[in-house]
Amino acid sequence: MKTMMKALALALTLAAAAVATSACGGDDTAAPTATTATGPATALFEGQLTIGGSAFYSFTTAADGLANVMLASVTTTTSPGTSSPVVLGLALGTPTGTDCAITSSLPTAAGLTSQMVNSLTAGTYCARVYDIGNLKAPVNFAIRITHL
Amino acid sequence: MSRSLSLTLACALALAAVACGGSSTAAPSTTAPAPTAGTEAFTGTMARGGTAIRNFTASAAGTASVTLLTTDPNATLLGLGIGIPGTNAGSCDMTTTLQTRAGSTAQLTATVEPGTFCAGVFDIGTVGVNGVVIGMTVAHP
Repeated sequence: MKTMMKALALALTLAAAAVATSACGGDDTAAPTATTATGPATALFEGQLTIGGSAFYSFTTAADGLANVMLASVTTTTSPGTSSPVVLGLALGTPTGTDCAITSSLPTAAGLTSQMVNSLTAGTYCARVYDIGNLKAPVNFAIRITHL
Repeated sequence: MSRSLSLTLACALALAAVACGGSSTAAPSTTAPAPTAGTEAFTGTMARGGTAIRNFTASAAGTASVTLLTTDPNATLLGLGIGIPGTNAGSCDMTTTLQTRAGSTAQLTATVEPGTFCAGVFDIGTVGVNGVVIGMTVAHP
């Protein structure tokens, strides 16, 4: 009788272990999935541009991919918040220490769609904004750069 | 015999409970909900010399429309603008601005790409000491 009870107890224990394992089978498939996709990085470059002046911002791309450069805001400094339709030079290039050596450029006014979309290999680049002779007074500007 | 069986069953249940304990501690997903097109409304009180800015996310390229619907005091002339979040004007770097009074049709539209933008009002020197209560909407793709 004792042997039978021991056997039954062992069988129940094994069955319970099996139930426990199968009941928690979802854990194996519910392993936390890394949802931190390496999306594009966004940088905001703000500053003030003087008559005849220029400014640049260096950034590093971690992988090959598109870089979007948006001259999003040009506003007067005398009345902050008032937009200016002035056309400025917007460029992409590589940093040269104290400036940005331009590889592509265009004249543009501020807008909410990227004026420059360039395919870049991983590396260090710069975005440059500059007066092309249109400024009559200093302006505040903001550039949004999205890259990998 | 029944005591042994009870003990065994209790152990089995305990085992199952311990083994399953991890299920409730599953790491929450970090996936943010996808932005959707729509119209967002907001109201607020803007102080004299202040700004009232709202961020919104465009889910696709298209046209964003900003409507200053109401002001109290009525017919207060205000600056209205759209841009990207920043620091130049309150919390918004304005792309396009104009001066307007409240109305039912959009005073400002802009072509946008997918991303985060901002819109709002700012005092152009017309707001009294008690401020102004504004109601506005932003319709975006």
